[in-house]
Amino acid sequence: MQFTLQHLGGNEYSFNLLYLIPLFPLLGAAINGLLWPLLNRITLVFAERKLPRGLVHVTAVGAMAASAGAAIIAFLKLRGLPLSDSPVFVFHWWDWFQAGGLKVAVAFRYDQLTAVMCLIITCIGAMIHVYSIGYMSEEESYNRYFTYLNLFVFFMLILVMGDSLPLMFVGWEGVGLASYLLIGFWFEDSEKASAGKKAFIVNRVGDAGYLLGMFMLFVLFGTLNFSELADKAAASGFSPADHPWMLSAALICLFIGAAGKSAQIPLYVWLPDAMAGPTPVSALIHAATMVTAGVYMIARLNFVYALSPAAMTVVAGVGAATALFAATMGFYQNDIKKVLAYSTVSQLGFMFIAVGVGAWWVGIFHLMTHAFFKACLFLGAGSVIHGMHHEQDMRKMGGLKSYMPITYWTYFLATLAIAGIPPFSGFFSKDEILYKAWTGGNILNPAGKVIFFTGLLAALCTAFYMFRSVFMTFHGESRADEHTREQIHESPRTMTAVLAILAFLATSGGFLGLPHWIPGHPANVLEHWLEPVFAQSAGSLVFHEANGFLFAVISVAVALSGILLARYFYLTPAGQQKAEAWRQDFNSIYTLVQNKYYVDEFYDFAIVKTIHAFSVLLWRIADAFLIDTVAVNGLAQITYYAGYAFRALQTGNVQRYAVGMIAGLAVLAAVLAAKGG
Amino acid sequence: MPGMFSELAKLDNWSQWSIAPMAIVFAGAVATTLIAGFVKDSTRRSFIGQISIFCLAIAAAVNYVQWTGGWQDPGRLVWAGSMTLDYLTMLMNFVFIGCAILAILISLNTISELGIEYGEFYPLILFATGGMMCMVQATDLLMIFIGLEVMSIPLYIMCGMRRSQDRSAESSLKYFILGALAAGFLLYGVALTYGATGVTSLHGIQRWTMENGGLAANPLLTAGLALILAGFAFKIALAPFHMWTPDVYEGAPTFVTAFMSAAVKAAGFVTLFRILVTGFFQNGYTASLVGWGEIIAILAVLTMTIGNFSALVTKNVKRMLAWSSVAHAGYAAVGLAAAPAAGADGVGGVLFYVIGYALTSFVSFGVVAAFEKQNGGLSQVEDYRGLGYSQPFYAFAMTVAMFALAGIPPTVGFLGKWYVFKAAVEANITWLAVIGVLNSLVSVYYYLRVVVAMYLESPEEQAEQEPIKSSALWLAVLISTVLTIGVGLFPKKPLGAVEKSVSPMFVKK
Repeated sequence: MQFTLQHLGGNEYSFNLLYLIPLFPLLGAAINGLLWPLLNRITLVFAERKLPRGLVHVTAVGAMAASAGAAIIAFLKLRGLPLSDSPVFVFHWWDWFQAGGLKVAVAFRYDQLTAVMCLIITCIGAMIHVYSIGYMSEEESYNRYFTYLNLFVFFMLILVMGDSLPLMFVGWEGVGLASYLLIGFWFEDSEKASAGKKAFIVNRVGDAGYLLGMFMLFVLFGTLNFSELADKAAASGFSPADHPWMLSAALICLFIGAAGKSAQIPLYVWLPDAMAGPTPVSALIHAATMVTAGVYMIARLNFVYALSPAAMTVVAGVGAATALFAATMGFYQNDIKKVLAYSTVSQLGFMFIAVGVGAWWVGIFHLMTHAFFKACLFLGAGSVIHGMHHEQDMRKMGGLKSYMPITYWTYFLATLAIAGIPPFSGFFSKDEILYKAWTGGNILNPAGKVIFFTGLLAALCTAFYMFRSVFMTFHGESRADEHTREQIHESPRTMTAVLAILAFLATSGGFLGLPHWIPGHPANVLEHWLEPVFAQSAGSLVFHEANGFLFAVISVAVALSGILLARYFYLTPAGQQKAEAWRQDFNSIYTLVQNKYYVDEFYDFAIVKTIHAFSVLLWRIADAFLIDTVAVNGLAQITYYAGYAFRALQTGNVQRYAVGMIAGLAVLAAVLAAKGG
Repeated sequence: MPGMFSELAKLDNWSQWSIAPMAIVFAGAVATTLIAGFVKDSTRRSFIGQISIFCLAIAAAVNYVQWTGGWQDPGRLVWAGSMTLDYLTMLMNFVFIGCAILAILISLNTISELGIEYGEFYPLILFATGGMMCMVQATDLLMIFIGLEVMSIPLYIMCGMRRSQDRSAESSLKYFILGALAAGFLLYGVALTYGATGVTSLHGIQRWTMENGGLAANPLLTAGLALILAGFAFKIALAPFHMWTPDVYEGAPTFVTAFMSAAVKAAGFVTLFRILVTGFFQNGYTASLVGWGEIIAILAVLTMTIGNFSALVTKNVKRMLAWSSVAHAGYAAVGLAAAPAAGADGVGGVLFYVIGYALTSFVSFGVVAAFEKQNGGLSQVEDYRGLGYSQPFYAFAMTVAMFALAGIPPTVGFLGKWYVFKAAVEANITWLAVIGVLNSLVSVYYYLRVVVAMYLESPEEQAEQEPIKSSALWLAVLISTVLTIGVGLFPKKPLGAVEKSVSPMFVKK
């Protein structure tokens, strides 16, 4: 096969290697899902033996490695071109559809932003595939698991590589489907199956917003292709003032879509439940990649968001509220994965603060560092769960430090990163977000300052609950029962190796985005790399000057106090007594938080019950005539009433239906007459 | 009367050639009726079905010749102005023939399983198909009415073909009684329209309304339009004229249900928009002369909402699909409501939607048919538990159908919804698109329930999940599944055909 890099004019280059990036995982899914099971049947019949299990993970990991290789080659080629020309690789596969002025192609776009996303997805994806070999080794449906996982990566790559909103939507829906299949992977447990369903349905609420936002953008700009949208938004003919509410409404609708996928208020409820899936899935889908799709979408559409301060304020405000709200919910979770789930919701809130205040690259920076440390944390939690024989309750852990040293150290390093201790990666990205929130002048005043303090408080909570999880899990006395304690073991090499790599990334990843205040002003690699993508909106965005070092000091002080508080309450006997006393005194608040503010219950009551009641009402009106009189009762009594059946039909329902039709006709005629032409 | 025949002979070749596909289908219907009388052995009945498919294939081939240039003058009026042969007709002929073939394929082996021991099914389905072709080709209200009746009467019979089943008899009777009422509406509407304008041809009505300032000038015409709308709203099951749908769809043999939900609905929609756009619309779409757009919008909201919310609480899969079929008529009507402002985009949306829905119907009802037996079989959602592992092929097909119905890309269902909702936003009735999107959101819940049952729940006891052994049925499900995904991925040609069909309706003459 020949790969050609062809200059198309302007800054666009056609590169036909691009389609291989998503194609490999799709092939992997097809082979694991169709070919191996089929061959397995054949060998069972003719040779009376099964194919070796190794085929499955060799296929899956091989597909991921190939995809990552292709993504890296594309990245290197892109880096080889002068950045000042803002080069973009494109690949037009086929024209998808054309409907009344809208042309949508199956075409990929590989620019600097896509490159970052693709590298995160394929490289972390490949590592998590490797980790899964050990973690899922006892699983019966081994090939089903890897099929879904590869399928997920395929759709995720479509999401980030698609060159238009509709194609992104294909990936958007596809990752939802794959995530739903993986959350419900252990469906024998009905609670887990219903968690999958909840995720899918809550996401559909967001999707409705996405679709509406997309239609409105189309009406405004006449196109949904990213580069054409950018051109239209830049054109002098387009002024946001001409469409005072339509643009903001479209962008807020799209943000609802982002809030669904990225678990923001009020659509975050599915993510904690999604922890029902296997832990590597939580690491890949519900921490590192899929849930960041909303952040990516807004960064991708930066040039339109920059036109609407109102929409940006909504994004940043919801992000800040979510960051704090979810962080407080992390306080009293006892399930180790639930703590990480709420922390993901909270960290995603930070990313939305960044993109909301117009600091696009910072959002992507935090997305990246979060992918490193959160994947490490989840896989560390998975290693603990694996070692503890499927125990997830931190109250039954403690003292694991000596049993699982590698897991402990990697988890600890990643926790330092998320808590924001320099020089770990999370410090640089989180500090930069708070700094930009304070100095940004792009959203409605004085939201920036409020958001800064909310974020700071959330950062304090983060340091607290994350160290709480470290202390409860790894420090102190072991609270496991005798039998379990004997069997605690460090995880196999495939798992610990991945942990080590991720811990390294979580530690050092921050050096890609060094802040300006560091003496000597070292280059900020990531900001520079992403400049071409955000160049268009950069001109209209304002950031004030402030002393960055001061912010860093405040940040670190906040993080340290969070850690010390956690240490006091969870490691010292005095603190533990105090905590117990407070729990008694403030029992109602404690219960409120522990029950996650009763949001699930509220939704169940306000939405699910209401819809159900409405359906039942309609059903009574429209359906019950028949069901009750003929089907349910009728079938049982049909022999009894056989002779009357004809008459019953004539005098019963049909007449009512006919009355309905005639009434409808009367209304119809009346409306037409009233319109009068 | 020798004169009559000589008049006919004088008709130009165009007129005769224009109805060739329809004539072939009717000829096949007559021939199979005769043959059915001689085939006594019920095991050989499928032979009649094969002949029917053969006739339909010939009709399709002739239609193909016309589509690719055998008909030089698309849109030209023939048969004294009562018929036309335009791309819309030809496209719909393909759709109807395809639906009939799929329905026959599904029926070939299942029909005896359901205890239907009569050979008449095949002639009936051919007559109904011919009726649809006539209805869509007609440009005169009377001709439309004739086509509609030729389509409907065989359907009444087909619904009641499972004579041993009370539900089937009830289905047939209900459909017939209410259908007669609706036919009465329609005919009365035609009469009033004639009374007001002095013509029954659609082009004549258009001329009259343009010259006389729209409906306002004439209450008789207003009443006529209301009656015509009601008559068609019944056929395509728009609320509040929808109430027969769940009962009839559930009671009828499943291959008949599939045929009704796919072809009859498509025929109704296309004829309705031909009447509205040609007869009651100012060409060049500067403005609608009458406010039917708003009325259709209201009906669409009612239909989507009632259909979806009723499906939500229905546990019987076939009945749930019937309610879902009501809801989908509502989505398609969104495009129709957008037509006065969005023009060809709105009508094109309707056309693409009903064609896509027809494909999906055959997948979903095909799977239902595969598990429908004389006694028992699968009927409730719970019965589908674990089907993903016991019957992977049918479960996969059903999953595709559910995702397509829910409007998830890259299936044809997504594109259809996309097309109609976009038309609504463009027509500046964004509120209608919002209601549509919210409705499709609700619908995900009950479609997903089937998928969840098939893949994420294990059957409580070893349930009987053997499908009816039939390669024809398998083939029909396979074809429609492949098309549901295929058209979703490569919709360029179908979309091109749709635009080619509807755009001439909006050209200024």
